[in-house]
Order: sequence, then structure tokens, then C-alpha cells
Amino acid sequence: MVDHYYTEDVTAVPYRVLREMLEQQLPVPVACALAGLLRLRGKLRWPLAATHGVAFLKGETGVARDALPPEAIAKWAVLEEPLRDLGFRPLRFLCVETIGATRKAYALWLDAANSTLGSLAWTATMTNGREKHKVNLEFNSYADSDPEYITGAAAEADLPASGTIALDFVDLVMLDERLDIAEIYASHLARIDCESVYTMTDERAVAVHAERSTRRMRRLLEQGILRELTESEVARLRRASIRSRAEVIRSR
Amino acid sequence: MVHLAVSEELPAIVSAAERQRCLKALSCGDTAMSEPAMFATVRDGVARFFADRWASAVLRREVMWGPEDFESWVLQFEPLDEWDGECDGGAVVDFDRRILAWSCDAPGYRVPRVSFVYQKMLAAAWRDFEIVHVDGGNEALARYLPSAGEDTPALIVQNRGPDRDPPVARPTTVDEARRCVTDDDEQENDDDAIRAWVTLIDADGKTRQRELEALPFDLLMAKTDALQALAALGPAPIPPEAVVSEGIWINSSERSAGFWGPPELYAMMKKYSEHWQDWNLTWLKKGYADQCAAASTKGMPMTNAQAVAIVVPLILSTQQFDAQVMLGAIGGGLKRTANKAVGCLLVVLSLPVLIFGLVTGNWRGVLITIAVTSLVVLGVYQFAVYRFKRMVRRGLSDSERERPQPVVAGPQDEGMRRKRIDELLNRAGLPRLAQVEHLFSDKKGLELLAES
Repeated sequence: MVDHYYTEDVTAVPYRVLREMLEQQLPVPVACALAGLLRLRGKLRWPLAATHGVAFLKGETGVARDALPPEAIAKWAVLEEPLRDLGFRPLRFLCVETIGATRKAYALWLDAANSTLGSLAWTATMTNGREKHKVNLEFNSYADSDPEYITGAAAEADLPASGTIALDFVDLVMLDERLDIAEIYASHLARIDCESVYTMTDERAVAVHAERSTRRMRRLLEQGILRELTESEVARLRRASIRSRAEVIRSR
Repeated sequence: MVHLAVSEELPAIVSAAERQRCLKALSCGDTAMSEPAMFATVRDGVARFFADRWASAVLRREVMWGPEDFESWVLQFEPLDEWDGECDGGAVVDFDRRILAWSCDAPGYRVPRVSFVYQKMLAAAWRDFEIVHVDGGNEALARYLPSAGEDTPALIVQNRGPDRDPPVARPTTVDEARRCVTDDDEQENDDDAIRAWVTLIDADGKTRQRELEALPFDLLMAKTDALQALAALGPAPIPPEAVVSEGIWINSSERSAGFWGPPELYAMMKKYSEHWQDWNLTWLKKGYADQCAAASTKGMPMTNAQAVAIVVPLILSTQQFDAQVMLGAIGGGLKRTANKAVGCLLVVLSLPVLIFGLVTGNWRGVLITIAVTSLVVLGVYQFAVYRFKRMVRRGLSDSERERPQPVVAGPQDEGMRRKRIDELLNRAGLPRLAQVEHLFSDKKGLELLAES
């Protein structure tokens, strides 16, 4: 049983990013006011109640593809087909332990040039008795020196949220997810064209990606954008997990 | 009823929903907004006829209560002198020959497992009856009346032969069958939309998933264009069994394919088998599971318990369906929107007054102004609601207003209904109520009737 769970703390997100995120759904004055209120809570170290916890930094181990949640495999089918056509091959599948109203799984693919990783994420969130699924794709290339090159795809409304992971050692570009995967990949390749990024074996690629992901998580923890859940929060969310698992079965 | 013409080569197609709208629009004025049904009960060679303007909408619930309760339900409707009239559905219950012939626009469910469970329950409810689902209105049902039987005995057989025209509205081409969902909100609702699942298998065994509204005729006829159009479609997720009405996997390099779906599809593919002459074409008896095996995925199979949980809530419900209920549902939605609009209006009107209060400090005047404004706005709103309701009531025809509220078939008491359905599930060899109740959705009332 994992004891260390983490959750996003929206009150630690910079005001400008928060405001831009909220403006996607709210009128500008309301978004400004709400962003200010959230930042004030952040300054007062008064985070919002956590709805879920994720056991990041656990030293995750891969699982067989069949051990993944079937919903993840089903939703990834849309991304896996173009990845395969672009010459990518699957390296590793991950199930991350979660508590509360969320489930997460990841898959790591490597391109034919052995220099760009395709990272697939699947997140299921229980909202109003229904589980909503979201898949994300990002391309990662690494080198001895910073920055790390990440080209991601997100829904237009979620693009401002990418500001939350704007780290000094990451060169991040987020594109509209409606673009073809081939276009996003081409854009990534254009960005690393003149850079001396790693060419990796499968094992090395998995190890480097795990190491770099951990580094990003640790930096987000330092910045407060991720925070560790307290013992009481873990206990509360474990109870909620049991309820939400039952709802998942019902909503299928 | 209006019959939609179909050509020999590629039938002219409209979607099921469009078909419904067309039929309603083309119906004569008296049935323009209704779900009419006709019934006949036959005992000792004597047929009695009945009709109701709305019974077709709830037929698939009422028929589940077995011969005696169904007959009692039918007897409450307006008696007819003869079998004549327009209808969307109906039933002939012949107690002499032990035949139930019934017809309904929504006779079952599009997802095969749900349909299987429904049919199993129906067979258990009508144990010693032959159950025949008839495609068509009163003319089709008339063939099961005793007088028709002497001249056309061959009609009194299961009517889903391979030579029948398909009753399901299908798109003509892959392009027409393409599913287009772009808006985010629609995307969420789209997860529940019933669809056809297509798996393309490459020469190297790699699979590509596609989804369509339904399997189109050009694909069912193995047209080269259709296969090319499929390959050109965007990739799709692997759908859960609960939303798949039919499916097909195609391995073009090996010239093999497997398909599954409702009995109509099987009949149609037999008819079109000449188009697949140099193919190895297989009917997938295990349906979704077989396609998952071909696609090398576990998929998200549905259990019988989940299927029972879709069927049973409607059977247990006592929700009626008629013009007043429909208008009530529409009116309820309108009223909720109007309530929000009035709330927003009050806020907008109050804001300048509040700012005035902040500037002048005259809070007593502000409170009085807001109270008076609210009273006026709410008064006008209530008056408008009253006038609107009166106008709608006037819009209902006299026959609609005077129509006695029918009772549902089976026990009226909720506890008794549950007990009977639990016994029925047991008889049908399906999971009992206690095993499936936690899987019931939150859908209530008219929403249950929309389950497909």
C-alpha cells in the first residue's frame, strides 16, 4: 500500500495562468476575481479540498498491456494507430496507483529514430456519477543538457493550463489536439532538428524518461503546484475510492 | 402508414429518427402528434379490436407482463368495430392458437445483448405462446387475425426470413455513415450513442478501429470504394459493448471478414452473399467477444446483469406517455430555463441599485427598491406562466383532454411489480433484481422510454 499521494494544488498556480484558464469558461471579470481569490488562498496556505491523489514518484514498474484498464486501451486506440503508422513502437505501459475520484494509466512509445518518445496518458475522472475519460499525447526528446523538448497536444480550452507546467528546464510547446498526430510529430521533429538529442535503446529510453519525469514532478512539488496529501486526506479519499469504483461499474 | 420506397440497388435511406419525423409529418392530422396502436384479442375464434392514440410508445413495457395482464391492459382502450386505422404498432393476441404477434416502432433494443435479454424475458413472460415480431403497421398485423389465417396460413410463421427487406434504416455509403461529433458537450453525450464498430486488419495483423452510425449498404455489398473510404476514415476508440449495435472485422489481404448484429443484418448478409463470393465471410456468433478477439483486445464486454439493468427500470415504471406528459416534460424544461432567466434579470436589475446604495449609503431605499422590483418581475412572470399553460391546454384536442388516463399493465403496486419481475427474471434464467439493482441508471420517466 502506497502512503505518499500527491494532488494538484490549483491555488499555487500563477495568477496569470489561473486567470487564462478560468477565462475559458467564465466571463473575464468573474475569472479575474476567482483567480485572485484562489491565489489569495494559495498565499494563505489554504488549498482546496483534494478530490484525488496519485502515487507519483513511487518508482513505477511497467505492466503488461492486458493489465491496463480496458477503458485506457479503448481510448488510446485513436492515438496508437497514427503512432504506429509514424513508426513508433510501444515500450512500456504503466498503471499509477490512485485514490479518490480518478484513475490514471500511461504508455510510452519510441519512434523509429530512437530519439523521440511518445507518451500517452489516460485519466478517468468521476463527475456527477459518470466517469469521464481524457487522453493526452506528448512527444519528448532529451539531451545531456537542458532543455527537455516537449511537444504536447491538448483541447483548445486546456491550452492555457499548460502554463502550470512551464518549468525552466523544459521547452514546452502545446498544440491544438485537433491537429493530426503526424503534424504534431513533424512540429516536434522541426524543433529538435538542430539539437543533439539522445538516441536511445528501449531500456535507456524507459530509464531516461522515468528519471526526467521524476525531475519534473519534484520541481512541481517544490513550486507547490503538486502537494502531498495529508494522512487524513488519504483516509478520506480511500473511502471515496470505494464509492467511486462502484459508480464506475454502474456507469459502464 | 407511409411506406418509404427503396430501390433494388441501394435502398433510399433516412436515419431512424428522420424516418420517425417523416412518418409523423406525413400522417394525417388526427395522428400527427401521437403514438397510435391497434390491438386484437382472439378467444374461441372471436376477435375483438381496440385502439389507443398513445399505446405504441409504451408497448414494449406492457407486453412484458404476459398474456392475461396484457389483455386486461388492452381491454381498457376504445373498442373498434373492425380492424381498420392508422397505427405505429400494436398486437394480435390469439389465445386459441397461442400466438402473440406484435409490432412496435421501438420493439426492442439496438444493442444485441440488451435485445437478447429482453427477448429472453419476453419468452419467459409468454411461456406457451409463439412470439412473432411483425415489421409494419396494421396491415402487417392483420395477417395474424383468424380470418387471414385460412387464406394465408404461410404467414403465421416467424417472419424474419432471409428474403425479407431489412426494416432498419441504414446509410447508403460509408461517407453517409460517418459519425461527426465535434462540439465538446456533444462529445460527452456521444459516448453513449449507439454505433457500429468496424475493425480493419492489415496484412501484418495490425488492427485499425473505425466507427459508423450503422453498417452502410455499400460496405455490406463489399464495394471497393467502401473499403477504401473506411481506411481513410479517422481512427476511433474501441467502443464498449453497451453502445455497439453491430460490427464487422475485415482482413482485405486474406479476403476474410466476420460480422455480427441483429437478426436483420444476418438476413441481409445472406441476401448480399453474392457480393462476397471470393471472400471467407463468417457470422460471429459471439458478436462483440468475437470481434474483440479479432481486434486482439479485451474490449469492454457487457454482462447480462448490465443488460437486465437497462431493460428492467422501464418495465417497473408506471410512467404514462401521452400528449399531456410530453407537453409537461417540454414545459418543465422551458420553466427551468425561464426561472434561470428571471433570476439573471433580477440580478441585472438589482446591480445598479446596489451601486447606488454603495455611493449614497441609502440602504433602506435600496432594499425597498429591490423588493418592489422583485415583486413586479415575479408577478409578471407568474402571470405569463399562467397564460402560457392555459394556451397549451387549449391547444390540446378535446379527445386528448377527455382521454381517460389508462392504467399500466401488470400490478399497479410498486412492490408487487418488483416481485413479479423478480420471478420473471428467475424464470428466464437471468440475474435477479437484487443482483442488478445497483446497476440501474438514474434515468426516470420519459428518459426510460428513450433507452435503445
